[in-house]
Parts: sequence; structure tokens; C-alpha cells
Amino acid sequence: MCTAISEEFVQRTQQNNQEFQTFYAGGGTPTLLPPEFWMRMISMVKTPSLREVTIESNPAVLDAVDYSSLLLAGFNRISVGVQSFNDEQLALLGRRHNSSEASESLKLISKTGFKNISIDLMYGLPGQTPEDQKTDVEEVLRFLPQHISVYDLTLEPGTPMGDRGKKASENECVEMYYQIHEILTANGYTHYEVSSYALEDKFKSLHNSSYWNRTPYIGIGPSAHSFTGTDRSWNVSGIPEYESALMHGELPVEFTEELTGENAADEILALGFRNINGVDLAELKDLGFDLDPAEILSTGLVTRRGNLLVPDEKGMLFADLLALKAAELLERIPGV
Amino acid sequence: MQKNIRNFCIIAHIDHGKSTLADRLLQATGSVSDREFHNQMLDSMDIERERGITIKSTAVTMHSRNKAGEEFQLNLIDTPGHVDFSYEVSRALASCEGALLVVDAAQGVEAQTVANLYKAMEQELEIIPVVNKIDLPSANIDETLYEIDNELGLDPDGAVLVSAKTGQGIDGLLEAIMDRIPPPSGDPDAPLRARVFDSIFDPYRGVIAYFRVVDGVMRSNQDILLMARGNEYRVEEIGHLGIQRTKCEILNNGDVGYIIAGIKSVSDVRSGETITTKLSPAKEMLEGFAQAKPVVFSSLFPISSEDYNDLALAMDKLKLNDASLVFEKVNSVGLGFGFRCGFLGLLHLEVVQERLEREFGMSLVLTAPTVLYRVSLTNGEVKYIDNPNLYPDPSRIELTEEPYIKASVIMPDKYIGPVTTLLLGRRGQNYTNNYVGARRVEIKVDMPLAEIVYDFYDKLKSVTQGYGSFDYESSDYQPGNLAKVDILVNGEKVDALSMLVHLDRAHTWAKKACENLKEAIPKHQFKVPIQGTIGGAIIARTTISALRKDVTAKCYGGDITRKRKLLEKQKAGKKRMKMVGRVMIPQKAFLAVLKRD
Repeated sequence: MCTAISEEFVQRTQQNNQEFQTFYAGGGTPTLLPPEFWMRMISMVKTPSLREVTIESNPAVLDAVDYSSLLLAGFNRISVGVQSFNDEQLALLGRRHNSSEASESLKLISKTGFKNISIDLMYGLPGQTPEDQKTDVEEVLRFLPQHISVYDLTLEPGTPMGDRGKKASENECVEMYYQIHEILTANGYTHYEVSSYALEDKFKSLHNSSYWNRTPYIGIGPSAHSFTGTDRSWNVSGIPEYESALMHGELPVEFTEELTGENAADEILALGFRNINGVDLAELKDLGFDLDPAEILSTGLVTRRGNLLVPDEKGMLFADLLALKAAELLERIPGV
Repeated sequence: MQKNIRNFCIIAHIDHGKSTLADRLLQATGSVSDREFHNQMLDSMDIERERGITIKSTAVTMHSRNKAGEEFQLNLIDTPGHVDFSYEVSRALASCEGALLVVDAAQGVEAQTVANLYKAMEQELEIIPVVNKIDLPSANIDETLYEIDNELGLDPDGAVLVSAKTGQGIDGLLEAIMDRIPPPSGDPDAPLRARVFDSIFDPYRGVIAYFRVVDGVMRSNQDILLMARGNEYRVEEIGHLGIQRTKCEILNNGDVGYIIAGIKSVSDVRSGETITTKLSPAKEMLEGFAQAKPVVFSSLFPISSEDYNDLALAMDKLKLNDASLVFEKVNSVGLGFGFRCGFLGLLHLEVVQERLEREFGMSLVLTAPTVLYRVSLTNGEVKYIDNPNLYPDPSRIELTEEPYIKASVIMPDKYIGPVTTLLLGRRGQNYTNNYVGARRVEIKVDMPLAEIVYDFYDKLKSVTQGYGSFDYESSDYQPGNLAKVDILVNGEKVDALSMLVHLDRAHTWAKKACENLKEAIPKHQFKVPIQGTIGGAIIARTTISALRKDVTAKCYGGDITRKRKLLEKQKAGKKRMKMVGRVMIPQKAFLAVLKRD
């Protein structure tokens, strides 16, 4: 598998003169791969512009990871999947770690010398009250991480949890959303995307932001998605097919979709209302679409700043609704 | 030779094997080659094949020899079986001298069998009972013969046993047709009188009308007169109906055939019309011509108001081929321009809706089907009301009457309880029942037509686990204590949701309608109250709570494509919703108000 991944790395990174700004090792438990492997991969994308190099870390495998080697390998940011500090809720989520292991790993990571730590938290968990959730956030604040991602639990139908379907009520989730916002902003964090908070501007995740502002990216590994700026493509999901394609010197791409102007405009809308950079009317115009913002502004969820339609705190919670409204209002500019 | 012509039809309850029997007769007489053959030969519309129903009548000429070696011309006239098209059926039956009455040996006699048999008896047809599906392990031939004797009053010894599926008994059936059905009786020397039993619209040839020569002879190259409409046409082509049309010069007395004569629309040559010659016209037209009489009414609106013109064009085109469809332009406060339509029944309504959506690509909103009410006003005026929104103010009403039907339900006796409950719940009166077979009962009941226009048949099927059959005939108008229930969505009256409801039920009905709408209308950013009112007084209410959030938590790499596709799907979905004030109402909500449980 590592051979195949290295092979895809080589094929994808050695084309043209690409300037990489961020690198993100995620999905699964990348800390279990040897640091030398990561060092080799990072060397392939290492250019003067490379600024943010992140690895995801799971507290459950705390003992098996050599964090200082990861630091040496070139990672300068680490995202820790804590999810909760409540053992009962961790068990319900099917996590293999408990709260003390989470604390342990955060302490260790910090001691190792990581200066940019992100903590993942979930809310709206089965049986969780807003009070429980407050305790969780306060626990996170003890570590004062540079970045916090806090997700409303999404139950997928067909999964064991989804079928049990005992998430907190919609009203409670909304209450928790505002509670999180209140506590974290009071502690100096900026709420810059539906689920993302940064302690200072420089700690906003550059990598995640590039998804939202449609910066091209390369995805490596089975099922990984890539974006060239005009095309989106994704890899096959099966490991045998993935390996076999690379063995034959081919990229393991399952499907490539060339975006039309309307597709691109829809993406801008689907992504823009989720974060405080908002939707740029000038960018839509470049794609050949006019958007009369009056109806969007009349919702009271969005403010206009020059060419930008920026969602407020409540607006981000209605990002999908705003996107749908805006998508219906798009008017093709004749002749563009 | 007139004496060697046999005109007959097949009458059967749905699923008793009418189409299969017709297919088998076509094959046994060599009227269709194996290469040409496909199932349901005589049903040409997609919707007929898919649903296994016949909507249009058609005919096919076959040839066969009897045991003595004499050659016969057999004209099979294929008719719809459904009550909605009973007028078409009666015109087709009038063109026959005999009928094959098909009874499924495993199912026995059903309500539709009985209803269609009576129509055939009214036309004094020679009836040949045919017990079909005798190859099935579950076939109970003795019991079926007993029902034919007792329930239908036909001689069971005259029944022919067949399996249309395997072909068993088909030769015997052909022999019986030639032997027992009388030849046509008309006068070959009298002026031409031909009875139209159906017509279709062909985009290249115009209307093609199917007829039976009753008196005289039909020739090509002459001018004809349609006696009911009084219109004259030059004949372009006449011929025999087979698997293909075969042109000919002359159709004799008793023959069945088609005519093409530059007729623009099927409405110009309704079933039951009499064709005669312009030169020496018959003195009197044939009996039994009647105008289409719609019994169920509903309004159709395009989902998107801009599509009104397309809908108008589609309706005009559909009308070319469906003489029973009547409509006029209406304007609804909430839904904009559309058409108020009259249908022969619910099946007819569904067929029209399906054809508009399928053949013309329309997205439609249909309002709740309603019946034709008779309202006597205090000033002595009598009005027929087919649209709840035109219901007069109660202070001006002396009496409201509603159309009643005589319904018949046949089912295994173990379902008497649930069926009775269902019928009484639908205001059934003068209830009687009697055994039609060893374990099967027929219930007869008078009930308002309004009670069956929605979901009655589905309910009956469900309480009898599919074993109940149902048929009805219109009877008379009876007084009904009715109230108009209006529905307010977010404070605005949605006229397309108004209904005329029996007063005793108004409260329950309004409550149920509000609940159904709550389920059917998506959440909005604001609370949406839904109220049911009578004359401004609120009798039921629910509230759709406000949407508090609408966003997914994560959106990284691969989520973007999924997200965009979802957005594009929602955009398309919104096109199937109607904006009423600030509220989006999905298409399905307009019929959701009718669901009772």
C-alpha cells in the first residue's frame, strides 16, 4: 500500500511546476505509518511556499506514536481527534480512547513542541445536554489549542449509530451551536467557518480554507478527490484496483468531471455561505452569472461588504438554505 | 356473406385474462404470425400495456372455418372494462351480437363481471360463458360453474372451459362462437347506417373512426354525413381492421371496419355517432347516442406558471384523441392559470394526468377531485357546482344535493366485517347482502359518489387483501348537508385546497387535512400556521415549526462534489413546488389533504 501511495505521489507531484502551500495527512490513522515515510512524502512537495503541514492524530494510538519524529519529518501542525471528554459519550461514538487518554496525548503533543494544535470536538451526541457540552468545551479550553473544529454529529443512515438514531434534538443542537460560539469567542477565538474556530488569524487552517475558496488540490490514496481548478476527479475506492492501476503506471482515477460555469457558480454558493469570506459576486460575474442579492439580504442572515455577501453567526447555520435561494436567483449574463 | 359474419366482444373483470384470450384467438385463427406476435396485441398505448387495462375500444377481423368447412368472418371488438368508460363499452356492445363472458376459474365471478354482463344483456347479446385459467392448480371449475348458474343466471352447461395461457379449449370456443352467436340482422338494401364505437387520432391521417355497418353498405369514394353532429365529409379510405389496417372499396352489412375522412378531432365523431351517406341519408339515426358526461372534476395547474401555454397546447392535443375530456381555463389565487377539467372517473383522471406528464413532459399540480353538486338557491335558481370555490354563500342556499351511486362489492365472506365498516364510514345506506357462491358475498349499498373519488378502491383492496371487487352505477341526487372547508397556509387562503365536505365530518376532515399538510410542506425559516376554516371560523389548526438550521457540519475534499450535486437536485426539486405567498407547497401536498388515514 505504501508503495502504491508513494507511486501516486511521484506521479502527481512531479508534473509541471507546482507550488504547494499545504500538506495534510489524514483519513484513517496516518500517525501509524513510519515517520520516514512521511519525511519522504513531504520532501516531494517541499517548496519555499509550503507553509502548513498537518497530520491527524488519534488519541487511541497514543503509545505507538513518536511525536518528535513527526515534528522532525516536517509536520508543523497536528489535528487531534478528541471528539469528547465524556467517557460515556466516547463509548457511544464507538471511539477506542477515553478522556484521560485524550488529555494525555494532548499534553504529550504540546510537550513535544507542536506549536499549532487543533482539537476536533463533536456535539449533539446521543444523550448530551447543553450543560454536558459546555463542560466539554471548557475542558478543551484548558489546553488552549490554536484551532478547534467542532462538529454537529451527523448520523448517516445505514451505519450502526445512524440506525440507532438517538441524536440530541434539533433545538438542543442549535442551542449548543450558539453556546460554543459564545464561550469560544469570549476566549479569543474567531469563528471563521460553520465548524471552525482559530485563536489568531494565522491559525485558521490554510488547508481547509483552500477547499472553501476553491484552490486546486491533489488528493492521494483510495477514494481521494482532486481539483485542478476546472476539473474534479476522484480515485477508485477499492485497494486492489487502486494498487493495480499504479502498478501499471496509471493514475487510479475513477471519474473526472469537468465543471461547467454553472457547476462552478453552484460550488461557490454551496461553499461561500459556510464561512466568513462569504460569496464574491465578482467571482460569479467572471463565471458569467449575475446574482441580485436583495432577496438574500432580506433574510437578515447575510451582510453585504462591497462585492461580498458574508453570512453572520446565524447565517452560517443556514448555509444550505442560503445556497439554494442564491442558486435559484443566479441569472446567466447574456453573451458570457 | 352476412350470414357468415360473427361480431362479438369479450367482457371480463380485470386480470381474468381478457387480453390473453384475445391474443390466443388471434393466433388460433392465424390472424397474426408468430413473428408479429407480442402480448396484449390489441392494447396499443403504453399506459394500457403497463397497467393491463384497455382504455380505447378497437376491433380485429379474423377468419375461421367451422367443422363443416364453412368459412366465417369473426370480428372481435375489444372494449374497456372499467366503469369510467362504460359509455364506450355500451357503444361497443351495441355493435355485437354476442359476448364471451370470461370468468377466472380461480377467482370466480367479480363485481365488474356482473356489471358488464348486465350491459351485454341490455343489448340482448348471446352470452357464452368462458371459464378461463382451468390449468391453474387453484382453479375451482365446479364452484365457478355454480356461480355462473346462481349469480349470473346463465346456463352452466353452455360454458366453455379454456386456458387462454396454454391454448386448451380455444378450438372449442371458436366453434361455439360460429355456432351460437347469431349473424348480423341489418337490412342490406336500406340506406347506410353505421355505428361508430370508438375513434383514434393519427397525427398523419387525422381521425380514424371504427364502426360497424348496421344497415346498407359503406363504400369508399362517397360523401358521408355524421347524423348527430350534422357534419359532412369526403371519404378518403375505408377498410378492415386487423393487426394492420387493410384498405377496401366496400364494407357490407354487418361488417366492422375503419374510416378516414379528414375528420379533425375525435370530438367530431363521438362513440355512438351514426354514419350515413350524404346522397341518400337514412331517416333516423341509430339509438343510444349520448354526450360525454363528466362525473369527477379537478383543476390542473402547471408547477411553474410560465408553463401555462405549454399546458394549454398539450390539453388541446390530448383532446384530439380523447373526446370525453372537457376543460375550461381557470385562475387560482395561489396557483395562477390552469384548467378546470371534467373526467369520466378517477381512472380517466389518472390516465389524463399520466399522459400529460409522460407524453408532454408537463409537471402538474392537481387539486382534490370533486363531484358535481346540485345547489338550489333561495331565489329559486338551481346551479350545478363542480368547483368548491364557486360554492355559493350558505345564506343563499336552500338545498344542496350530491350525486349518489349504487355500489356493489363482491368478496370472500370473511371480509364482511371490515368491508361493512368501510362502507358505513363512507356514508353507505340501504345496505343489503347475499351469497353469490359458497363463501362469497355481494354487498349492495347506496352511497355518495364523493365518497369514492379518492382512495376508496385502495382501501377496499387493503381491507380485503386484494380479494374485494367493486363496481357502481350512477343513481340519483340526494340532499346532503355540506360545508365548504377552506385551508389557510400562513394566513393565506389556498383556494386549490378548498373542499366541500359533509358537515358531520368537517371537523375531522379539516383536522386530518391540516396534519397531512404539516407532513407534506417542508419547514421554512419562519413558523407556518395551517388552519382549516368554515365561513371564516377556525375549526382546526397545526403549525409547522420554524427551521432552525440548515447546514451540514463538514465540507472538505470529496464533500464538495456531493454538496453541489445535492444543491442541483434541490434546485430541480423546488421546481416541483408551488410558491403560495411566502410558503413553498410541494406538488404532493395538494392531494395529501385527501388522505384519510
